[in-house]
Amino acid sequence: MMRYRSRILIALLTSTLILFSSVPLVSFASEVTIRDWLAEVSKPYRGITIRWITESTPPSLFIRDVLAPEFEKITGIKVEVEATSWDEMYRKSIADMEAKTGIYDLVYVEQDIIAFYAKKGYLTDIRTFPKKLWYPGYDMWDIFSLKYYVVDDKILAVPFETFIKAYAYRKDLFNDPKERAAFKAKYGWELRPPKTWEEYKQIAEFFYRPKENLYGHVAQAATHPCLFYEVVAETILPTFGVHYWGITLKRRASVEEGGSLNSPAAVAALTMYIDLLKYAPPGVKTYTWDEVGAAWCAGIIAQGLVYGDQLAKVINPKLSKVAGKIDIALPPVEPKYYKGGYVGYMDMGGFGIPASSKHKEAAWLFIQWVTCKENAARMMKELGTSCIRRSLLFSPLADEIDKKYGFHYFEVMRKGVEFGLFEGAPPIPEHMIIVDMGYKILAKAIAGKMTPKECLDELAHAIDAKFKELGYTS
Amino acid sequence: MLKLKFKPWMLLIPLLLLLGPTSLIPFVYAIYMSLYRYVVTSPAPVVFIGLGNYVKLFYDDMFINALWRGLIFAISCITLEVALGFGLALLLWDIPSKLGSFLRVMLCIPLAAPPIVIGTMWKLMLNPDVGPVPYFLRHLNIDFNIGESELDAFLATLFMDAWHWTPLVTFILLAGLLAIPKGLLEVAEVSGATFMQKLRHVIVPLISQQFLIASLIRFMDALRIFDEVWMLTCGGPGISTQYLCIYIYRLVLTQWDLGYGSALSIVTLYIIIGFSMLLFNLLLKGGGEE
Repeated sequence: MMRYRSRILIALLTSTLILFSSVPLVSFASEVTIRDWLAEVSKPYRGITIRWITESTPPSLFIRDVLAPEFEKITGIKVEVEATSWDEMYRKSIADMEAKTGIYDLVYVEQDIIAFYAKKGYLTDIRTFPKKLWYPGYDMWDIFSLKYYVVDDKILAVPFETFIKAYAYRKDLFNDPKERAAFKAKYGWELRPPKTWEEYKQIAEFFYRPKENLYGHVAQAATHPCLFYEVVAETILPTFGVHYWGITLKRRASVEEGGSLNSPAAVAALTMYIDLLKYAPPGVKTYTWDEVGAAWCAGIIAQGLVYGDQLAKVINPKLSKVAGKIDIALPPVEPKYYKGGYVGYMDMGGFGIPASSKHKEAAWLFIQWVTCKENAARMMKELGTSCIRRSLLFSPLADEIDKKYGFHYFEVMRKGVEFGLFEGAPPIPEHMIIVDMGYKILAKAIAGKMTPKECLDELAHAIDAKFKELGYTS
Repeated sequence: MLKLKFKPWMLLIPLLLLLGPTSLIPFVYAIYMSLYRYVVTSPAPVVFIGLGNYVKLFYDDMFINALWRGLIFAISCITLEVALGFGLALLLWDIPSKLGSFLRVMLCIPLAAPPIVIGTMWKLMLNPDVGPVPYFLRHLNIDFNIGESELDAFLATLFMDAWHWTPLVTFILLAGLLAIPKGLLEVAEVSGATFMQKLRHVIVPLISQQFLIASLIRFMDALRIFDEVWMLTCGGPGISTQYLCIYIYRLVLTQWDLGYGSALSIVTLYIIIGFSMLLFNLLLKGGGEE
């Protein structure tokens, strides 16, 4: 009996010891700060330099100016950031990864290019890093746009910025009693964010006042890839019910081959897009996304579509004349054709580690530093329009920021995430070829050289021909 | 004897060592690439297609458009720049030394500016919303919009190029003018020749070589223009200012079609050489007849 008692006692003591000794371990895992963890885990990499090429977006600049120097202080790993233009960023990163030179340890990966990078095997699968290099409190799947970067069960990049391209309007004008009365008298309905493109057109017409240097519309209609993105990929065709570029899974774009890029809905969308340009500033056909942002900041636009990263400039009183006067809503749709699906663009930029990088593990530590909850919240607060984590998007912080800037940006973004109203690009590896072909053909219609129908017929058939040339059989 | 025979070749060795890696190897590599279908942005495999890329050129509307527009641009450029350059050279020829020196320095400014800066500068000046040029033209009821009108965009590229390179033509022609023996002009004057007669029968024939050099340099440069036009119009509106090099750039560095882009680059090189030789012969023949 005594023997049994002593055994029970020993068992109880042992289990109590195990229980109590494991408590500090558990609490260490959840309480250790990323700074402490990085300081410990980065010891083998002290003194090295990692290089990152990125597009010069507000989050990239914040990372360059604030987070990278902090990371260097904590870890002793130097981060050289090359923030450049969108096209230059692509040229340099693709040239580096194709030639396997290993100049860059991190590259900027836009969601729409991920299928191409995946096919080429340019990037390192994040899952391959050993467990000891994962920050215990990282919670990777809280990053809601991460799913767009998973290809064939490999995580090829980690988003550090996520914006939406939504409808923006000047609430000071829309709420002005005189404007509202004049608008109602002319069009018979209350001035508010439009639900249809017809309503949008009426508002555009109403605010088209070149003599007052105010315009009812803005667009990125330059001879530039941005034209293809705006018309085909992001908002115009999708709000007319033509989704995923009107290209089928078998890689066909024309109606004759099963696609919808030259369908009546697409033609109606392009016709409307061209028609609306008359309400935009005279230089609209030279505008890319940057000029759109600049026109908003100059206070000459009453309504239009705007990227979240450009919006970050528009709400900044140091850069904009209309800070505090902007509000956000969902883009309008064309009820005749739109029967559901996404209505806008989810713009994502992520960190990818090239397969040719010589400092992959140090780069992975840097990624975790930037995208951890603490720093994701800092960036969200600082920039006002980018959010990468679900826990932050659905937190009081998002409401606080909306309140601070007097808009409903995060409210709209939440709707987008919950109901799939904003989407990235379809996983087409030939993305760049299609975009480059596409904008040149669209530009001919914008220049009035061909009708929207002729333009989309030419574009759809050119895409079909290109896919056939690349070996896609129907 | 053998030593003497090989001496010139030995003297060329340093130059060949320099040119080999910088010119010859890339050129041969470009020819090699042009025989393949190699599109970096496509997952399709790299395939040897022989002369397939060269055959494709004949059916490529974009290429024919770029070539045609490039030729019109180059011919317009040399016409305008040689005319303006000759006028300026004549003015500078007679100007007193101090003022002349000052004006020559002023003329050097566009030449010293990098093309990308010139493109940016003109883009700001011609911006349809805030640029001073469209602003003042609007007061004359002229709507000048490089984003809207093909003609305006073409004229903008032409005037920008003329602003940038006319001084070069001026300096080449001025060098020729300064080398004309004064005695010849005095004889013409004593013989009662008017200014136009002197110009036609004495000055122009004597500087025909300078005309030839200036035209040739400018023609070759204009055919391969890229930076300024890329900055100013990006090849638009539509494809109206998409000259040859802009098209090649898009193929190689946007679509990453290295095979077809290489074929196009090689053909463009020979087009430039061909047209330059044609121009050279024409001008030489014209000069010889004088």
